[in-house]
Amino acid sequence: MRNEVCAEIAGRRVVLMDSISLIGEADVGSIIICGSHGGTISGAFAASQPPRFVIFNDAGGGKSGAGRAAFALLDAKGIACATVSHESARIGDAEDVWLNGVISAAGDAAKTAGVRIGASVRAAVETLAGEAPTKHD
Amino acid sequence: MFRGVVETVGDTSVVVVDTIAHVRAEDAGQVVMTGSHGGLSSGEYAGRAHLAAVFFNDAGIGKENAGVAALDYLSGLGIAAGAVSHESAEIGLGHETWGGVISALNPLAESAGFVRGEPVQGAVRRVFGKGGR
Repeated sequence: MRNEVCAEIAGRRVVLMDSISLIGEADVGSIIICGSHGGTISGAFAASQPPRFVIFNDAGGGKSGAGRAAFALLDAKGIACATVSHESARIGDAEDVWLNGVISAAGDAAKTAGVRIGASVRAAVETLAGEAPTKHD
Repeated sequence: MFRGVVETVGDTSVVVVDTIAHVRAEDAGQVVMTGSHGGLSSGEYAGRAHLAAVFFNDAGIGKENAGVAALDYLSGLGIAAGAVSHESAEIGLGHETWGGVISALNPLAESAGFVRGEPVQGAVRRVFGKGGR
């Protein structure tokens, strides 16, 4: 399972993480591109070591929009988050999210920072990385 | 994050885990219901114990069938595996998978008697119940 830094943008580490369960202390304040769905449990993992920005796979939305349910939890904590379409990137594969993912939804903090639906992941990350520091930095 | 046995069918326990990252060696021989997607990363976690069967959320199947890619991977390890539809169960919640409807199966799960389109609970009770195997 992949868990590695793939880039540094505006001084922030960009981490490719196939499963958000692999998150650790070193990831606080980083930008995490993960292969996981954006369900509540993924949000809980992410909130345990608050990143600057985290991107999940939307898992097709699904019942009750569960594939994006993490947004409420993360927005409440001021953590920017977004999903890519499950048709644009293979779920479980962080590298595919990074290289081919297309943003399908974004939390309030990410939208406020300028992240746009339909953007590439690279563009969304560059938008976020250029923003002012948050309380988690 | 929930992890626990929710039912015993015959000699087999049904272990519910919200994330497959929480599967343990002691789950060998048991049936696991996880809220995780059935992608390859989930397959890696599931393959750490020789489970009797494991069911994931199909995550809408998605690009290159990535949402159920673990099923073939687990076939190679001799583990019966399936997924429930992401419209029938909320992803990330193991209890929802336990209440979901089967959308995909690997050949081992088909041979065991599981059928696409049926609720997974009833199927597990039939396959692992008395006289089911």
